[in-house]
Amino acid sequence: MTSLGRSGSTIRLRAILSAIIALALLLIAWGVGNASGWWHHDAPHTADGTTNRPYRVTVNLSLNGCTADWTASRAGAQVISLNNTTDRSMDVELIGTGANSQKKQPTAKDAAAAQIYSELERLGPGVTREMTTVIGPGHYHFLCLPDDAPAVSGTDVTIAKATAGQVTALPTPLPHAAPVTEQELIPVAQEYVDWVRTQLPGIEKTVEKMHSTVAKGSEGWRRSAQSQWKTAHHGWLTLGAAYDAFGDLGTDIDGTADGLPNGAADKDFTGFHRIEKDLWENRAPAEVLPHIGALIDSFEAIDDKTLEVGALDIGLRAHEISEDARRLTLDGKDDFGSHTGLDALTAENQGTQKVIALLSEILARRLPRDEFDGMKSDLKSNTDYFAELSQEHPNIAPANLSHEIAQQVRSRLGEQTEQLARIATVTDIRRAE
Amino acid sequence: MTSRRRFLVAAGLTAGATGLAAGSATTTSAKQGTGSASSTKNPAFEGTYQSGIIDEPRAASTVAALDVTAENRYELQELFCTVTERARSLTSGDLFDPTANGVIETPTDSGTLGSGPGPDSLSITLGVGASLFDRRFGLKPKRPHRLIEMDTFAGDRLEPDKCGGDLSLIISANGRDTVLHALRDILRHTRGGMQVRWKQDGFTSAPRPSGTPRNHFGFKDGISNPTTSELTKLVWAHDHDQRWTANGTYQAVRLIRMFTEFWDRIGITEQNNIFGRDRATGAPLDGNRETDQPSFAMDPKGSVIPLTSHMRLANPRTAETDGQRILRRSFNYESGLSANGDLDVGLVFVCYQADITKQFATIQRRLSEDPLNDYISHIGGGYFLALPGVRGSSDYLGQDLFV
Repeated sequence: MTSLGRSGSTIRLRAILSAIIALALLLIAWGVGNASGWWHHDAPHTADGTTNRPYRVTVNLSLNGCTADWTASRAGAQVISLNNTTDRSMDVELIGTGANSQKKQPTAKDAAAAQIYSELERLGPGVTREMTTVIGPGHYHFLCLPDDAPAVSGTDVTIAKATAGQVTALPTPLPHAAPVTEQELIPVAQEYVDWVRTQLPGIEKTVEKMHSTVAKGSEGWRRSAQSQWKTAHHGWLTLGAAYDAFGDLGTDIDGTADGLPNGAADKDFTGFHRIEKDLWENRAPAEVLPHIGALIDSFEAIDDKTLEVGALDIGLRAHEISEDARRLTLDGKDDFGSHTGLDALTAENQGTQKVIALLSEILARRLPRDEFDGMKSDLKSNTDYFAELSQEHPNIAPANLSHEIAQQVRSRLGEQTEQLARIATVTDIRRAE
Repeated sequence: MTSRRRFLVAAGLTAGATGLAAGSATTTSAKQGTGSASSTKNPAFEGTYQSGIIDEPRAASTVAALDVTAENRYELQELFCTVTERARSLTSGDLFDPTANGVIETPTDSGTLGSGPGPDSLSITLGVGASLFDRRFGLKPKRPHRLIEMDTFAGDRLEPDKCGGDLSLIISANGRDTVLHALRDILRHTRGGMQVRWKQDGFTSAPRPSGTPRNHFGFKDGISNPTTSELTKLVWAHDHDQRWTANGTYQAVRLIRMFTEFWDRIGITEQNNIFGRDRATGAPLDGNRETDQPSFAMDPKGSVIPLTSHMRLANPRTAETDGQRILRRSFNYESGLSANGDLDVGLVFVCYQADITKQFATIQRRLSEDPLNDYISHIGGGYFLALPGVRGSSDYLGQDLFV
């Protein structure tokens, strides 16, 4: 009995019923007759592992042996209906050990080289959901990861090479990688936090300088304060403060006027962008100073709790910084007068490069080498490109760039973000066997 | 001044009258072309409630918010009469245009539907916003307390030129041409009385492969709605606030941009967890079919359907939140590009309820923690009261406002 409160007898009854139904279906299938003799599949006479006609099979999941009734399959496209007959929710992973290309016979099983192909998360008690995947010759098993219970491995199944006639029609096996565990990610997240901690004093110092520049109000104060603002803001953006990193304090420091009833005129509009608006709208020093003071207070309020980065977040951040850059910077939505969007793109890309560098050991073992190298070199060349553009056009909103350059910026950032998205899915935390 | 007052002529309204002189001519022919009970039959124009509320959105829909430019109460009354008369005529499915070959007048009808393909499941729903009840028309004493200005919620990125309006008009039909034809017709007859403030066209996808239509994120949207027997309790406005609102309903419209580029870059597991449903089937994560009711009570920790999932936050299915449920009548939109070159696509969220503050606004506040918020942005909309239905050939939309 679990907190979900389903009685064991209901589950057993359900299992018995499913077994009866499965048997009936099987007999029907058998009666209809099938050319391949592949009686496990619901539509055996048509399935051939191509994407149009994937192999279809229903597999029952139990706490006793995970998938004891998954006994055989063939290379190619599969739609596997996973039926959770237990009384608890579970995640299910399809794991390959010693997989090979479609064209070769499987090599020996290698448990140490376990790769995850597909997963279904949160499969509730009594629920059946379809897992769609493509596998090649190799050794496979399901891993059941029930709530509040140890992981259970299912039966090992060996997939043989398809016949010569079939193999060319089969789709390429799904990209796969060793699961990333929380233990692997924690030190990376810690390293990131440590790095952020070393960067903060410099940024805060620049903000304090800006405060005294404005307070003194000597000739040319505005120009100096604007330049200090740019330096400090650039520094802040390299920290990759995307998507609620630093929590509410992050919004106080670098939020836009979103969600405020009076928009940019709202009294609760604070931080870098408030000061930006003040400085570029020629506000008097007395008006600007309290806003800079508030920013210094926010910086001082940053503590260990604020800096905390979850193990899961570090992988997400790899693409979320770019998503933010596209959504806010490219849109001009975070431009309150300084027109430093290109410099912002540069800083944001530098932040992404830092995250990728920290994750590189984990990623290098999971992504094809040329792909990962390509990703890094594209990232670098884009950063350089944005930096160069921002030197050429130090005060232009991205929206005011020439059409040709604007399209180039969008194209580069768009392509980069597509590439980076993969990092978030690869580094999603998965429970180890 | 002639063109400005053109809509008065069309209304055929005589000074002081509250009925419609021209209305009867069109209603007698209302049944033409609707002989068979095919799926293209227009919902009845007259009734206790307006059409387009209980009726699900058809393939093509448009929402328009309008500013009233009528200068006084009488002109406003005439405006309501004209909109009623045009809606009645358009939904009659009769496109016979006596002026088609006239020599004095330009043709009354735009001709975009030819000489009349007949009914096309056309519904036209008129609403009034809080701003109509200012000093201009002496309607202050008639303002229902429940009709408020649209709230700004945390995370909103509202664009002022896409918000508010004195009136709302939601037009829905099978064909995009039918919707636009109706809008053009109504606007042409009311130029002196109202101007479009903002508008958004949209569509409702065909079931893929079955069941509730999908939104731009690939999820079935609007699966769970109140049943017909619950509408009196949850949806229809009653007369305890203002007598004239009985059988109307409060309409919340929100233009929600969806960042599909970003969404397409997140894994399917995360997508499912954000909604709390399986994208492929629409089933709640603890069920097998889209119509299965999630059992949140059996899953208090959210180990199957995350506590932060959209479906769970929006409708926790508890005794306290049961009265907050709303009738959703949303549709998808796509319109060009946004400033960063992304596709500007999203949802025209429309819902009906008896009390916006207690229902939509309460739900929306609860959604401030919705992980879906990273992928969407509320950019516009308004709160309106969809008027009570037209109860006969001498009635017109909003008539009780002037009693």
